[in-house]
Amino acid sequence: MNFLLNQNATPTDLGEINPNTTVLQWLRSNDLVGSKEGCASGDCGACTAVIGELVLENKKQVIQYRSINTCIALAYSLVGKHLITIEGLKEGKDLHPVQQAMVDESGSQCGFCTPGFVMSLFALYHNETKINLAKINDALSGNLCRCTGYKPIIAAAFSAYKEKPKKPSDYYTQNRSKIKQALIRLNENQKVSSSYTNNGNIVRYDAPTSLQELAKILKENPAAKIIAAGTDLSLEITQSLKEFNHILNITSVKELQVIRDGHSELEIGSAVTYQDASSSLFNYWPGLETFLHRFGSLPIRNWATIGGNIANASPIGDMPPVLIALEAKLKLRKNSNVRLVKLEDFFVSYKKTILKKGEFIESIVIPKPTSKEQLITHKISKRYEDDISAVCMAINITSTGNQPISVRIALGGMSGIPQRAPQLEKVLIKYWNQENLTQQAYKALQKEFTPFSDVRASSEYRLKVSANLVNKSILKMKGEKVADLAETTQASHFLEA
Amino acid sequence: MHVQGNATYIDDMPVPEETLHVAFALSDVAHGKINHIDINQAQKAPGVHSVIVSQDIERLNIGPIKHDEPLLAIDEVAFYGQAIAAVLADSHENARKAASLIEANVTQLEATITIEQAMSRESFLDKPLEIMTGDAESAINAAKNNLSGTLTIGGQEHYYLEGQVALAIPTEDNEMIVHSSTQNPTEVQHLVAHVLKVPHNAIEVITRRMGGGFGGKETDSSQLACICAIFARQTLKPVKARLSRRDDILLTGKRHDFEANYEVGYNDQGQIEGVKIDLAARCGYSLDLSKAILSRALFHADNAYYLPNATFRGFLCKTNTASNTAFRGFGGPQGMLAIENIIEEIANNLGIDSLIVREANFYQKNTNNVTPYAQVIEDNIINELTSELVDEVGYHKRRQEVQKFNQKNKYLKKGLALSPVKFGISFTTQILNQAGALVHVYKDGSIYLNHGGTEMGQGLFIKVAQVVANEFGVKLDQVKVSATSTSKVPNTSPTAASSGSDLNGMAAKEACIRIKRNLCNFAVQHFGVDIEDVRFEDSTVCLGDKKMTFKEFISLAFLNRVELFSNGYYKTPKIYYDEAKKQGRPFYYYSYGVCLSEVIVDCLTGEYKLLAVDILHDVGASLNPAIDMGQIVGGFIQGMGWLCSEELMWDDSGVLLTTGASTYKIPAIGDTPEHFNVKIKPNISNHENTIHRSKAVGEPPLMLALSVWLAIKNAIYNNDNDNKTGLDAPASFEKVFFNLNKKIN
Repeated sequence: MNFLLNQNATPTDLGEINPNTTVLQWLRSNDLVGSKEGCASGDCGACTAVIGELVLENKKQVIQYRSINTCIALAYSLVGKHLITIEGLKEGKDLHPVQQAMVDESGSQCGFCTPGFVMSLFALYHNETKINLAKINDALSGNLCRCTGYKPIIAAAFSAYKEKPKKPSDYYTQNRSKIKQALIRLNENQKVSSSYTNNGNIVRYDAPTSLQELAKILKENPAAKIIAAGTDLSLEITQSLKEFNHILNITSVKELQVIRDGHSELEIGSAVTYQDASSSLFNYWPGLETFLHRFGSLPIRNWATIGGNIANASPIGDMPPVLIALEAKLKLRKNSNVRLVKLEDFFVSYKKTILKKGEFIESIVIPKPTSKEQLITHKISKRYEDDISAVCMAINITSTGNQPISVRIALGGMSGIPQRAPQLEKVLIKYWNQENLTQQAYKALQKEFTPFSDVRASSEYRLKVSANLVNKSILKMKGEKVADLAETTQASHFLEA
Repeated sequence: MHVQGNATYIDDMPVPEETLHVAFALSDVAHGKINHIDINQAQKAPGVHSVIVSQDIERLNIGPIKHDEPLLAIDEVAFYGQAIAAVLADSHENARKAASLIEANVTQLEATITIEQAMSRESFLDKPLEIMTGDAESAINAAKNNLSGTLTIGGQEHYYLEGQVALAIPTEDNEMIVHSSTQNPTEVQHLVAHVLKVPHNAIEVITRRMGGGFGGKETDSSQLACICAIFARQTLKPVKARLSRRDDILLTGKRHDFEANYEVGYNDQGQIEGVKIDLAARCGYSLDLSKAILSRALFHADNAYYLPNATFRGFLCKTNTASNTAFRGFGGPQGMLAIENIIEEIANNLGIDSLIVREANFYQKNTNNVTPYAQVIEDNIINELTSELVDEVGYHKRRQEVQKFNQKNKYLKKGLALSPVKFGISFTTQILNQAGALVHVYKDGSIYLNHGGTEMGQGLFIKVAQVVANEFGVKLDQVKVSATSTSKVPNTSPTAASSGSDLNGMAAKEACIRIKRNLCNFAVQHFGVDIEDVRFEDSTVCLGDKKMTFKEFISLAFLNRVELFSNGYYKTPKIYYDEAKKQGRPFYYYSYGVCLSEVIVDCLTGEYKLLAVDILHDVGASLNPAIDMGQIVGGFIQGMGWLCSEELMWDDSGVLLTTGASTYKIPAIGDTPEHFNVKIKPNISNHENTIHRSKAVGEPPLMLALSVWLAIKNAIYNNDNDNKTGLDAPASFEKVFFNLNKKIN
């Protein structure tokens, strides 16, 4: 169970560990204490590190480096990958350019969040040749700082790029091919399976690489906990102090990592991360770009998978409403049996789905849009960045000219499951051009939903704002001046106006 | 060090292998009688060493002013999340897992959760406080215009990124070293000594650095340190405790939430003729620092305005919630928000720009310069600061542009507000305004500095080191600042009230002066120069015509048996307060600032975005402009969080619902406005004799953010000019939405 760590030439063995151990716990118990625990739930970014893995880019194998939250990633998921932590940035006595920029711009006060910010900046520096405020905000969307007010950190990001040579010249760029060879060697015949005895209990971990292998393990162990990144599931370990007896990590299964751009459908493997799926999604639904930015922080999108988001069946997952509005289907597999179900039929009740024991999501199949279709999405939350929705609404309208002909609307945060709203759809078609659209939408929503009041919003606000969001969508279609204030570029536009 | 990840926080320190770890079991009801606590399961859990409950602790009660906080609940639980038992285990994880197995049989009692409940049940921790001047009642009745209302002001979780943490290491002869992430090592030392029944001199508390404090580690660090110490004494092993984020949020106090009931009389120019404000603060189950906090709220309910007839009353509501505590601003922000809200509502009612109302009420230089607590304001610059900012940003043009935008847009409305800050500097508890420092000059000319202040990111260590380097005319890197330790400088005050540099800087300077006196006397004797001709500059010592490097001179002084180390001591002059008359001069001086904020509101959803911020802030003659700038920007954003997205929520039974970063939203990077101009007022110095004529900067900038909330209020008014009053804090999108739509509700 080996991985590459920082600038070490020889692979690091994770050793005999409880598979429930997170990357952060492993690091901190192995004297790498630069990464901090601020929340242990993937919300604050004090634990941010950068993970490199081999991927195919234009049919060539390359290393892709991305920021992740180590507090909610399992240590065993490092196997075969390259982990760069704050301890790995310096070369000899020289600070990395992003570290130097943070010093120059006074980007650190108490310093506790600083290693996380530096690692997110490092990932940005590594991946982007040019930057702007939107990119900086996105790269640092998962890092909270309580001292600086972020201004000097933003300045540091810009400042690092002022001096940046065309080709980044840090250790990891200079040694790219060497690291790549090491990763290739590392992934040859590495068996990713372990069994650990903890107080008499046997805790198992498996990370199969093929569908066949996965099916076999599941058949023998139908109770195994499938984990497809675990950005939410890990919280059961770190927050609820649970321990899983058998963790089945499906993110290495080759067949589940594929995106198939078919004739009339886009098929996304369930282990594809949000970040990997984004370019295909934006290609057909450009409006999703700003939505996905708010879907979660970048480290979360880098790690979380669409399949995991769906199977987790959270009522406040943001992707299911969008996919329901787009009439997506799921390909479910159990052994060799495959069935295709509509996503809107997949969710039964709070955190319950129609998945049978031993069955898993193989892929998500989304019909491609026609030229008459328009997808409008809304998200209401307490904070724009990295927050859970109070209401998430996706409206997929088919129209001729400006006249809506048919529509599919789905909402999150309004019920125990992500849910379609047929009555609301009827209202929109009937009243879209009338003064009382909002009132009618409100009535329909009241009939279809009994949302709860919780920390994110009251029931009444959820209903009222949803009705207004329907109206806002129509206003937007009609070209009226409405705005998505969460969008950085739009906000700067209003600054000028 | 910070950027390399090798700055060591307590949880990063290597500890001996036999170190044991603590976790608490917390109450799951807000108020109840404890019948039985079942620790059997926990005792049998893997890795557990021992479990204690209140009966196992001899000296159970601690607290900063009054010892009214049991380390573990005794017969009654007083709030949801109170510690009822403590587990000691071989690892942090095992301790937490075992703690979760502890079950308490509790008979629930009626809980007092809200301010409203406390007020109606007269549940108070102490008598009401009052500050008054003139005759508010008659002035209000005689005034041409009146308005009254209620403003609810939410609390705030500190959310320091490093949670509470402590490590107790027993040494010999009943002595102990305690590493604590605290703003107040002395208090931790005294309380640990108290619970262990040993004299203060047996305990050394060390604080190298904190990963943020903001007031949350002024008193709330003691519980953890005391429990570690008790276990360490029992086991004679090192004992460490760090709170998980959830436990930290549940166990420790927050910024006080307030309810302000106000009544005001004013003339047609917006001048306030009489005002009455009742401030009720939710203090939680124990006193902590609530009295001082509420006092400061009353001392700041005038903000920058001359109020000839004012009555401010404060109520210390005792509730079944965690004991609220210090938080940057220490009551000041709540008092100031109360009066700023009144100003904004006066403007809305008169239909005039709120800036006019502010200017009409500002304190003046030689007249209208006495506060309701009878302090004469000698250093007022609020009028100048305001007009400078108004000119610099083209306020009136900005106002017109906002109006133009609002006329053209139906669903989007802009709001604009300029608000002042006048913040009193000094602990209002007089005894705390003292400090000590210790300076050693070694034979090689390197300098060691220790003082009573703690470093939590505010740059105190650098500022005080600068003072020392400046005194000796050496480079900053010649001065090493060591961890704060109770064995180096005793009986220190907490690093709080923005006083860190003022107090410790002066104390360190005094220590330097004493050493320099020795050095100068030596120079006069040895070189026969006049004392005036001895100068320390550019790492050299000028002795009349002769020059030596500082290092050579020090080495020579040592060889001639000159004492090269000294302590220094400082106490703030001029301050006093007569508790009976409720008059005096509680503040040595005031810090000032002004801030203009512009927001845009989406009237369809209640969402808003802060578009532009312009700040002009007074730090006197800055000791370190980069650090001061950091405090201003960071303080502003933290204040903005308090008033905008940070919303603490409890259910009706007193269960705190916002216990983590996923439900409690501190500002993220995108909340920092793109247009964010911050200027330190140039060419100005403190008229009082502070360290290098600088001013305190820790807390005052937080209140610049009041302008954001006021701008939101202005946007709501701009959307409908009949909508003149209302809006509570924090201005969550939901609250803004319902305020925009008052009519249809």
